[in-house]
Amino acid sequence: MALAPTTTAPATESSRPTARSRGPLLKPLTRQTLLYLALAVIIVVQFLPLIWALLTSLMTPQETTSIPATLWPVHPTLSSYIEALQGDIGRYYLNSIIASLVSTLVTMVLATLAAYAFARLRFRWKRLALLFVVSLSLFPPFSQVIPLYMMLQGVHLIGTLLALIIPYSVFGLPMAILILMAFLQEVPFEYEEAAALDGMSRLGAFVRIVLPMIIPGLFTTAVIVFVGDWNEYLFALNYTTTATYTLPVGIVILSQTEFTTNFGVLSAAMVMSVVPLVALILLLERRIVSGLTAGGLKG
Amino acid sequence: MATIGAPLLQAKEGSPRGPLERREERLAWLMLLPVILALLALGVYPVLSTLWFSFQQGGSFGLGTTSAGLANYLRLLHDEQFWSALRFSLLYSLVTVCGQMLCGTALALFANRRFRGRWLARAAILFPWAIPTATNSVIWAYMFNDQYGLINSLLEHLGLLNPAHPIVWLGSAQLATLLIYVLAIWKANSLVALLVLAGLQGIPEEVYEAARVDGASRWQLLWRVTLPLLRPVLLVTLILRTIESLQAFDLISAFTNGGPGNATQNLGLYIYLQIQQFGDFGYGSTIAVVLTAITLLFIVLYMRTLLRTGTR
Repeated sequence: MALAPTTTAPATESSRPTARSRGPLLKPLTRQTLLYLALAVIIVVQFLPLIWALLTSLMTPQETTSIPATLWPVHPTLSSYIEALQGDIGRYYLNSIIASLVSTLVTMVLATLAAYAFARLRFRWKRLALLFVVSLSLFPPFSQVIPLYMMLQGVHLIGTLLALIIPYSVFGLPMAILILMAFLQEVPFEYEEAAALDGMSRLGAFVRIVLPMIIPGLFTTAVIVFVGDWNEYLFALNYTTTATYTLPVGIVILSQTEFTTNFGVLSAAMVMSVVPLVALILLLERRIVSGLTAGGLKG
Repeated sequence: MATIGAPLLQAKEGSPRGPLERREERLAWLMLLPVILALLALGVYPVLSTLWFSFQQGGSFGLGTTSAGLANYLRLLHDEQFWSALRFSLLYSLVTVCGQMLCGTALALFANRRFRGRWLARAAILFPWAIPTATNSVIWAYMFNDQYGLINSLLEHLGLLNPAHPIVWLGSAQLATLLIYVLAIWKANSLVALLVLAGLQGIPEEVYEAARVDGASRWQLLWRVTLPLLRPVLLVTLILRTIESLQAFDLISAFTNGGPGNATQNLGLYIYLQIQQFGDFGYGSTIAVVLTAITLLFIVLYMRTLLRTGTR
């Protein structure tokens, strides 16, 4: 191994001219330019819908319905945002926030307990229990949506936010458990062993030693769970009434039922529904990526 | 955290013997109890109940149904709309999953290069995942609106399109289907790219160095080193994407709502039509059972792959 640096140095040295002669004869500068050109294209393609919604949301009603379409708001105005927040969209926004926040909280509490048991404790049937949790998360929601409706209807919850909070809390569990397990497995065992030697119980060590160490992991998991709840559509569409529409349902229904669609207001609503998530992504990109990969499951 | 399903494989089993171990086991089940009960009640019971409903008929929104025997399943055989929805679902999965795998892998290879501003590339890759599928479809429908949309207007500004004869993107079965494919590939690139990116980071640098010493070109590195080493990750991603794409609903529902006509109606939309429009929970459940059965095939495949790669 000690020889490695001396042997690889001439190798890379000699590989350079061959790479250049075999490659498409691009100078490093051109290659650099191409790289950033590709980056620019990727960014435009990925963000185009949001950019378009953003531009439209700043246009006046006349501009949004001109033919051919105005591409740039000449008289930028925030009136669409004000109109959206004062109308039904404001209520949908509030519904989405309440349903997603409460569900995320419940999911996190239950999932943290389960993830600790799976990651740290020894017990029989563990693999079977884990397989049960994982496979259930892959079932199509369509296999559950009808009976769940009957159950919620039976206890008169359809039309209340609990009709969303209850299923969201439960269906977020498998993914949250998998992600949290990955974070828990990175905490060295020694801390708990030391705690045990000090006479601390397993539960005490979990709450006072392990949990504080995975706070970033808890936060990341909560963000991923929150995004899932915030974006959920099928249950929201089936279990809500006009008073409890969430943002996605409200936006789709507004866009499909009103023939004189107000594109400005609709776009403002879309921008507002996406902005919190974009902010979270730009802030937490690295963490979310590793969390999503560990869960590796749902979109 | 690099491999998919790592938690599943690293779970250690133990057979408790002494009193201390028995206490540990009791604590474990206590911590798992809420989750298991919740999943049994809201996950398992509904699936079984859907199966039961598929043998029921009549009634309205699930109330007052009577036993149907196999009538619903026989009805499927002669239901032209069901077969067309099934065909759309399968074709949609095939096309979009292939597209997602190709584009996602390309994006991951790009974002794995070292350059200034790489975080921007990663944020851009992540973005479509976070934007709500349904809301996103509404934006796309607006972009492709024949009168006020961005795309037609751009074409008109470039002089490629006569404003008097706009392209009615969502009015043609072929164009609408094509756009749904594009949209679905765009939307789920993120997840493929993320998983592949993690796989790429798990490949040790020494492997590449050794190949370079042997005189491998860039192209050869990609085909002979990177892709073969990524195979387990690609396989698992492929299965997961297939499962997800079979369940597609919000993307299509908010984009074309199955139209024009029933040209873009998949199984999900057809189930929704049965339960919401007609209140026919029996027949809706029957189609849901078919969808679940197809999905189950891939779930079993997924589990087998995961467990097999784990024992290696």
